[in-house]
Amino acid sequence: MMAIDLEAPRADDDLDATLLRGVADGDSAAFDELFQRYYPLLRRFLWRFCSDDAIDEVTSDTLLTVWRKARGFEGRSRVSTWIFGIAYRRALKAASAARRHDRARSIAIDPPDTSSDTARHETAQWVDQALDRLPAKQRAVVELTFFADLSYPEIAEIVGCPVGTVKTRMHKAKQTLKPALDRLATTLSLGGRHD
Amino acid sequence: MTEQREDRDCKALLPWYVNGTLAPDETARVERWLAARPEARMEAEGLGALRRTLAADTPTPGDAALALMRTKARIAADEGRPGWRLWLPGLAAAMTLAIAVGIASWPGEEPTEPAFETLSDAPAPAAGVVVRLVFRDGVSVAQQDALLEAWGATRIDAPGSGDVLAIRLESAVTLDRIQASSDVRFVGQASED
Repeated sequence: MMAIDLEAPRADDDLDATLLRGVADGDSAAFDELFQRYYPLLRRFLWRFCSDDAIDEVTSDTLLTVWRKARGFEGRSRVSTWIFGIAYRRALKAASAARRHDRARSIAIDPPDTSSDTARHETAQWVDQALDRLPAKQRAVVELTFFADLSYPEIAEIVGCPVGTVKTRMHKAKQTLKPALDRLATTLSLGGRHD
Repeated sequence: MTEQREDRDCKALLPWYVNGTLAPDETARVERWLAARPEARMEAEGLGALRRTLAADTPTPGDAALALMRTKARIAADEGRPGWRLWLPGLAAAMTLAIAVGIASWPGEEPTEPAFETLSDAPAPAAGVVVRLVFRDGVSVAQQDALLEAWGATRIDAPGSGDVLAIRLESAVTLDRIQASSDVRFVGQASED
C-alpha cells in the first residue's frame, strides 16, 4: 500500500518538516531523502493526470519547486499537503497541454463477467477505466481521498477550493462511478473479501 | 437537525469515514447513521473496495536514482543559485551509481523524449577523449563551467570561442551523463587522444 501512513502522522510530519528545513538551508542530503520519500508517491498520484512520458518530468518539476521554494514554506500546513499541492497544479498544467488516457481511448465500458475467477481483476480494470473518464478535478479528489488517504480539509487546501466544493466534486464522482462501485460491492459479495 | 439533512451530511462524509480521516465526532456521527441504513453500508463497502483497488493500482516503477540525478543537474545549472558546488559530491555519487548499474544500456523505460541530438553514433568515450557539444541558448559560461566540472570535463576551447565547444573528459563518463542534461543541445565524440 503506497498510501501516506496516517497511522503515524506525527512521525512522518516531523521528519518531513526537518528535511524541508534542511532543504531550505541548501542541504543536499536532506533533499536526497525528501526526494526518495516523495518520488514514488508523486509518481503514483500523477499517474492519472499526466501522460506516461510526462510523469517523471512533472515529478521532477515538483521536487525542483520544493528545492526552490523551501524557504518560503511557513508551516501552516503539513509538508505533504504543500508538496501535493505543487504537484496538483503542475499536473493540471501538464494535463491541459497533453491529455492523457492512452488507456482510456480504446476502452469498451462493458461490465466484466463476475462468474469467472478473473472477475475481480476485470472489475479492477473496469474501475480503473471509469476513473480515467472522470474530469481531472473530480479525479484529483478521488485520488487524494482513496489513494493518498487525506482528509477533506487537506484536499481543499491542495486543490485550492472550499471544503464544500471538495464534497461536491466527490459527490459527482461517486455518481459517475456508481456502476463501478456497485460492481465492486457485488464482486466482494460473490467472491468474498480478499484483503 | 432534520433527518434529511443528517442523511445528506453523513453521505457526504462517507468517503472520509472510509479512509479514516474524519474527526472523532464526525466518525461517531457517521457510524450512528450507518447503523440504521444497510444501503449506505453497501456504499461504504464499495468505497472501501475502491480504496483497495487504487492501492493495488500502480504505474511502472520509476528510476528514482536517475530522476534524482537529473533533478540535481537542473539545480546545478540553475544560474544565480549560490553554493551550487554543494551538490557536486552527491551528483558525482549518483553518476557513479548510474554507471555501476549500467545505465548506458539500461533496458527499461526512458519516459521522456531526449533533450539532445547526437552529432554522431560514436560509442561512449573513455577518459581523455575529446567531445564536442553545443549548449542550449541561454546557458551562461558560469553554468557551462559548473556542468563541465560536474562531468569531470575541461574546456579545450576558450569560453566564448564558438557555439560548438570541444571538451576533454577527465574521467570515464559516458555520453549519457551529458545527454541527460537539459542544457545540452548537441553532443558527440570528436576524436580520440
